[in-house]
Amino acid sequence: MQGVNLKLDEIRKAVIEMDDVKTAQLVNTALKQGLAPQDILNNCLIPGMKEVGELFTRKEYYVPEVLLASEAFYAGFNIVSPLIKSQSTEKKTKVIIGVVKGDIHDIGKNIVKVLIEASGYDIMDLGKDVSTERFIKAVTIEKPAVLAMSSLMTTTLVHMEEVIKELIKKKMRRNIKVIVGGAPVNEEFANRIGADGYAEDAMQAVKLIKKITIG
Amino acid sequence: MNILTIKKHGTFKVKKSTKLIDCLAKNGIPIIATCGGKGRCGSCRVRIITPQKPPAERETLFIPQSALKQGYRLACQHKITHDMTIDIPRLKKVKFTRLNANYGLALDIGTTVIKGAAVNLKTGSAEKISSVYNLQNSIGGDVLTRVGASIDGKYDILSKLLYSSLKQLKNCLGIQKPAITIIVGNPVMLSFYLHEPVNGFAQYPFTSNLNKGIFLKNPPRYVFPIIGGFVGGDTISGILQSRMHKSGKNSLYIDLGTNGEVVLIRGKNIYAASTAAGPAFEGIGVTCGSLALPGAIDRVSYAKGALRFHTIDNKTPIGLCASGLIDLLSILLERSILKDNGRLKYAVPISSRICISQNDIRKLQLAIGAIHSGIKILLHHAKTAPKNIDEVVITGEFGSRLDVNALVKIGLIPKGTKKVSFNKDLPLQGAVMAIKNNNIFHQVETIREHSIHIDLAAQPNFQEVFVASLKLAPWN
Repeated sequence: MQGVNLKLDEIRKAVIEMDDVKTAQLVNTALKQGLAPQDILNNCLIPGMKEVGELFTRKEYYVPEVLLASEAFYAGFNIVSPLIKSQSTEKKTKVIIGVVKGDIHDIGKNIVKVLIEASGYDIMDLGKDVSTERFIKAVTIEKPAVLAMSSLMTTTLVHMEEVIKELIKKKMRRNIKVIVGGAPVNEEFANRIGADGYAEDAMQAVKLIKKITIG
Repeated sequence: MNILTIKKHGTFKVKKSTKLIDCLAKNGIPIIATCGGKGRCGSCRVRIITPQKPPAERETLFIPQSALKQGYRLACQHKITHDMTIDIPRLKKVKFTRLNANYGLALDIGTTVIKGAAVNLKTGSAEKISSVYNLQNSIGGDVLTRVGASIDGKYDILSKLLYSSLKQLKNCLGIQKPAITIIVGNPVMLSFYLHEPVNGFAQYPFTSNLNKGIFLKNPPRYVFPIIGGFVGGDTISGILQSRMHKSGKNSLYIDLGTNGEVVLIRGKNIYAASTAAGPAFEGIGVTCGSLALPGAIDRVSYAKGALRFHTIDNKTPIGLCASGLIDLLSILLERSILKDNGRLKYAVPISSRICISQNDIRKLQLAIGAIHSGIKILLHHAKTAPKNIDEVVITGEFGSRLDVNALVKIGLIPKGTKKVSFNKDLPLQGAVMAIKNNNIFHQVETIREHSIHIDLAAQPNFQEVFVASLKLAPWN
C-alpha cells in the first residue's frame, strides 16, 4: 500500500513541478496498477493544482509557472477524465466564465479557469470580448450554477452590470450565482451591481464558488 | 459641514463623511491616486495633523509603521468626520517669474505629469523647463479611470482640471501669452485638450478623431496627431526628435512610462504599440519604488559582499527609481538571489527603511515582460530579428543613465544591440524643436502616415509571447 501512496504523491509533485510528460506517464502507470481514475483526479491532480494556486497567491509562483503547471495538470486530466465521465453518475457543478465586452485581456481569466476546473467543476469558457447577448445565450442554453465575469479595464465594467440587469429582465437571475473579478473590480463594486460575490485572486474565486453553491 | 485646512493651500468647507480625496479633487488640489482612489496603490498619502482615527487595515499595507505614527494616511481611505488639518508632502511649491521676450510654449501632456518648456523664438532653445502634476490625478491615476469617469458625467470636471494644471504650468514658466504653443501627449490627454469625446477609448477597438495634426487660432497652437490606439503625439514627437525615421537604419524606440510605447522602424515603415507596462518603473505600486526625485536611489552596485547605492543629489534614500531598480534586479540575478522566473529567495534590504519584496519583483517582472513582448511582436510584424536592430533609443523618467548590460540581463531589450542611447525627455524636446522649425509639420504627417499601429493584446499568440517574455533573462 505504501508503494501506491508514493506513486500518488509523485503525481501531485509532478504537477507542482510543472512536468507534463512525467505527470502523464505517472498517471498511466497508476491506472495500469489498478488505481481508480476518480482517485487519481481527486487525490493527486486536484491537490497538486490547488497547491499551485496557493503558491500563486503567495507570489512564489507567477503567471508562467501557473500556466505550465496547468499543462501538466491537463496532461493527467485528459487521461482520467474520459474514464470518469463514462462511470460517474454524479453531475458536476457547471460554471461559465468569460471576459466582458470591449476587453481583450484574458490571461488572468485563463488562470482562474484552470483552477476552477482543477477543483472539480465543469467549466465552459466563452473567451474574451464576450457580448452581453452571448453571456445570456450561453446561460439560457447551458443553465450553469455560476456565471463568472472578469475585466481588466475600468471602462468595460459597465458590461458586468448590463449582464446582471439582463438576467433579471429575463427572469433568470434567481437560478444563477454571478461572481466578478479583475484588477479594477472590488467588493464594493460587486455589491453595487448586485453580484453574488467578488474574488481577489484565482484561489479566492474557487473558494467563493464553493461557498455560494452549497445548498 | 466640516472645516478642512490644507497646509500651504488654505481652508475649505466640506460635507461631513466625504472622502478626503474627493474633497481635494473638488478644490483642485493635486494628489496622485494611481489606482483611482480604490486603496490599491498607496500613492495618495497625506499627513493628518489633527487627532485622528487608527489606520484602516488597507493603510497599514501601504504605509510603514513609522509613517503611520506620524499621521500618514491614504486620502482615498479617509472620510472626513470632524474638522481637520492635513499636509500634502509631495506637492511642489509654485514659483512665479515673468518672461518678457517673445516666447513659444512646448507642452507634453502626460497622464501623471505635464511638462512644459518656454522656448526663445529667436534662438529656438528651451530656456526654462517645468512640470506640474496633472490635476486630473484626483479623479484617477490612469487614463482608463478618467475615460470611465467622463462617461459617468465627469468630462467637464476633467477638462477643467486639465486646463487648471496648464494654467499652473504657465505660471511656473512665466509665460501667459505664448506666441505659439505646440502640444504633444497621449491620445486621451490630447482629446481632453481639444474638447473631443473620449468614449472611443473605453473599449476595444480603441478609436479617436485625432488622426491629423490640428492648427488652432486665437491663441495660435498646433496639436500633434496620434498614431492609433493609445499611442499618441508624444511618441511621434519622440521619434521626430530622435531622428530615427531619417536614419535609414532599423531602430527601436522605447518609452519606459506607464503606457510603455515601443516603436520599431524598419525602412519606411514605423510599427508602433503601447504595452500597458504600468507605472512600476515610475516607482508606483512598488513598495521600494520612487519617482526620480532627490533622494531616489539611481545607482546600485555590489562590492565586497554588500550592496552599495547612490541617491539623486546625495539625499537620504527614499526609494529606488527606474535606473536603480534595473541595476538592483540585474545584481540580484547575478548573485542568484533572484531566479530568472522571478522567484526571490528572500526580501532584500537595501537601506534601513527600503527593502525589495517578492511582490515588488512581480510588478517589475510584469512591466519588463510587457515591453519585451511588445518588442517581440513588433519584430514579428516587421519580419525582422533582434540582430538586425542597429540602434535602440530609450526615453522616460529613469533617474540616471541606464546600464545597457543590466537591461540585457533582465530581458528588457534584446542582446547584441549595437547602440543604445538614453534621453530623458524626447517627446518634450520634439515639441520644442517644432516651435522654431516650420517644415516640421510636414515631417510629423509623414511619420504618422508611415505608422502602423499594432494592438498587442489582439494578436492571436499574445498570451504565449507574453508569458515567455516574463522570463528575466537575456534574449534575442
